[in-house]
Amino acid sequence: MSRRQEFFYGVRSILPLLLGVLPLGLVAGVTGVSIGFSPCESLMASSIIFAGAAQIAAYQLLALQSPLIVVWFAVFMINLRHIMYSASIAPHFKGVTMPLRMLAAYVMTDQAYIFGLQRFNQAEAQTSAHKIYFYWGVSLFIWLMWVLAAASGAYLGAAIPTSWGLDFIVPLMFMALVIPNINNIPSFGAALSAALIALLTYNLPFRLGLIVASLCGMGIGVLLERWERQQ
Amino acid sequence: MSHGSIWLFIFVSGLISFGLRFSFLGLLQEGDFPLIIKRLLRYVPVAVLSAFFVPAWLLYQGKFDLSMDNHRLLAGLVGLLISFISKNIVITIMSGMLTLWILGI
Repeated sequence: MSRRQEFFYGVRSILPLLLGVLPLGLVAGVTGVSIGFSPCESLMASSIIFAGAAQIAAYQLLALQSPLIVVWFAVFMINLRHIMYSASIAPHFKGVTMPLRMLAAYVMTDQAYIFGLQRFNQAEAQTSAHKIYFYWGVSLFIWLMWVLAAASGAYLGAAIPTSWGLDFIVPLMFMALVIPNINNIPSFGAALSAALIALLTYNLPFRLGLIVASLCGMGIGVLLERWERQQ
Repeated sequence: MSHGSIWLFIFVSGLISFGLRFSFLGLLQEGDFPLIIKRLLRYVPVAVLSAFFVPAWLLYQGKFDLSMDNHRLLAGLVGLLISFISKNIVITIMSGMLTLWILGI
């Protein structure tokens, strides 16, 4: 595929996810304003931080007058998973210039990571010099849609009733992202153990449980893989 | 909250988010990861996302409620089932949200 084809293949692949991204961007935009940001500040927060889950958690903490250092630590912990994404996807960015790698990092999301990695690992894409353009299509399009949604929320959306339960889109979207990746015993074990440990460690401070559970799940996956090989 | 501290919040949070995402993309010319790390990284998607979504699904406002009154529990189960069958993102999100709305949230 040409660069252009890869790019728009990425854009097309991500269209279904707008169902999750747009409401979340809207909620982020509205929530910023509801805790005292100006619409411009709310939009800039969504554009610069560009991390829905972390922003919404941070807004809750700010609304409770938490010290900034606590808020930043929460942002750090909730986004810590991106270190793992970064490590996982980095080998595919060999030969990409530093400014472009900085851009790739800035626009990285859970969705862009998962879709990018799936594309990079497809046999047909592995030898293609243009596979990276798929990632650009996915990530830049999500960024644009997210900013537009956040702007609508910040400038127009005075109120989205909480009774709509729109926050429930977040677990549903992540569920829809993870299930297709569970295709053998090790990946099932990794998912199940990470989920259980995340539940058990939920009350650890600063969302530490998220990291503990992720690392345990990855370890269980590797152990099960080894056990499978020995069978 | 003053506007000065709002901007401070925005910029430092932006730097944190960027720094975490840039970490390994930034220092990638160092050669390959050891084999064990590569094996572990293969389970990043399933482990991280599961650790993320299951508590967000099952714990509402920090509490665990395994009763039939917990509409989020049922809506999530529907979503999970549909996701396994369809592997389709739109259908999964729609079925979960519709279940939640039909049950009355």
